[in-house]
Amino acid sequence: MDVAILNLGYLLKAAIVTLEMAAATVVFSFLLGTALGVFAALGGTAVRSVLTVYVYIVRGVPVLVLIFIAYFGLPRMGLDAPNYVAATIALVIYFAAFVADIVRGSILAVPKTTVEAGMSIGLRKAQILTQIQLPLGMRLALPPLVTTASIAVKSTSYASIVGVWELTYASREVVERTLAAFQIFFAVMLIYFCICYPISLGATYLQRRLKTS
Amino acid sequence: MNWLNLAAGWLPEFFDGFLVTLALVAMCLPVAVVLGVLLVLLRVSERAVVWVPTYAVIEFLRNVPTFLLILVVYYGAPLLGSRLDGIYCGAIAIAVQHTAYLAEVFRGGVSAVPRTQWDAGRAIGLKPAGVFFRVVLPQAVLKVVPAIGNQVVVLIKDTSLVAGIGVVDLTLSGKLVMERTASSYEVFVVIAAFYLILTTIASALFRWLEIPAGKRR
Repeated sequence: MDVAILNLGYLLKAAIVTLEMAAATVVFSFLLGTALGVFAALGGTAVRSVLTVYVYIVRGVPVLVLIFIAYFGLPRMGLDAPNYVAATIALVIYFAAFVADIVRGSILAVPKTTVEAGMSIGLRKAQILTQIQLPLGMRLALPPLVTTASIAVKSTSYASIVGVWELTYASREVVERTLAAFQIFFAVMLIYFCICYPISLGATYLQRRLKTS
Repeated sequence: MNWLNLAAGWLPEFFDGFLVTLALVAMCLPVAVVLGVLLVLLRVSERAVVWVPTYAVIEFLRNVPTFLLILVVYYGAPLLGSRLDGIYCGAIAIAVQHTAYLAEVFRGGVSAVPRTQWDAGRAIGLKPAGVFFRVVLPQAVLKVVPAIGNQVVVLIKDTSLVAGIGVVDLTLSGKLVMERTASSYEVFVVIAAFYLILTTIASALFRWLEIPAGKRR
C-alpha cells in the first residue's frame, strides 16, 4: 500500500478535476434537462416529439461515442475547446436527456385533480407550474435525479480516453510508472467509491422517505 | 451525403468492429445473468455472515467506474502472469460489474415477491434453495423484465469502453477509419447510428418479453 500512499497527493489533485467535471456536468445537465422536461410536460406535440427523439438517440448511444463526436466535432465547428471542455459538453448533452425524461415523467405524475384544484381556486398557468407542478413533481424526481448524479460522477472517467487529465488518467499514469496496478487502482476505486456511495445512499434514503410520506 | 458514402465505403471495417462489440455482449451477458442470480441468492440470505459481505461487494462494484475495472484487469493480468487479450480483459471487467448491477435489479424483484410465497414453498416441502429457484426467482424475474432490458442496453453501451485499452470494437473502428480518411466526427455519427440500431433491437426485444406470453403476436 506504500505506493498508493506515496502517490496519494497526485491522485487527490486529479480527483479534484474529476469533481469539478462532475459538478459542471450535474449543474448544467440538471438546468438544461429540467427546462427541457418542463417544456415537454407542458408543451405541444412538436416540443414533445423533438424531446422524445433526443432522449431516444442519447439513451441508445454510448457516452464515449458522444465524447468522441464532441472532441472531434467542436474544432470543426470553429470552437477550439480544450479536451476537458469538449468531454464535459458531451456529458452534459448525455445526462440532460436523462434528466429531461425524469422531470417530464414526474411532472406528469402529479395527480390531475391537484392541478384542477389549483385551477378552480383561480391560479394562473404559471402559478400552477411554480406552486403545484414543480414542487410536487420535483419531489418525485429527486431520487432518480440523485442516482443520475452518481452515474455522472462515474462517467467522467471516460473523458480520460480523449486525454483529459482527471482521476482515471492520473491513475493510469501512476500505474505505468510504478507497475503497482492493484494497489493504485484499488486506492482510486476507493476514492470514486467515497464520492459515489454517499450519493447512492442519499438516493435510497429519498426513495424510502417518498414511499412513507 | 458524405456520411452515407462514409458508412457504405467503410462498411467492412465497421462490421468487424460491430462483431467485436456483439462478441463482448455475448460473452458478458450470460455470465452476468448467472452470477447475478447466484449473488442475489447470497444477498437475500438471513445470515449476516453471508449477506453483509455480499452487500459490500455489490455496492463497491456498483459505485466505481466501469472503465477503471477494465483498467484493473488490463494492467493487473500481466502482473499475475497471464497474457490475456484486451478483449477478454474488457469482458471480465464488464461481466463482473454487470453481475453486481443485475444482482441489484434481481434483488428488487425478489423483495417484491411476498414473504408468504417463501413460506408456501417451504410448506410444500421444498428446500430453501428449491424455494428460491423454483418459486421466488421466476416471479421475481417477471417483475423486473423492463429493468433488465435497461441494464442490457447499459451493457451494450459499456462495451464501448474497451476502446480505451485499444480493442478494435465498433467505437475504435470508427477512430481507425477517421485516421485513414479526411473525415472527423462524422465517422462517430455513423458509429452512433450502429449503436442505436443495436440498442433499439435489444429494448424492443425486452418490450416484447414484457407482454404476457398469451397476448404476443
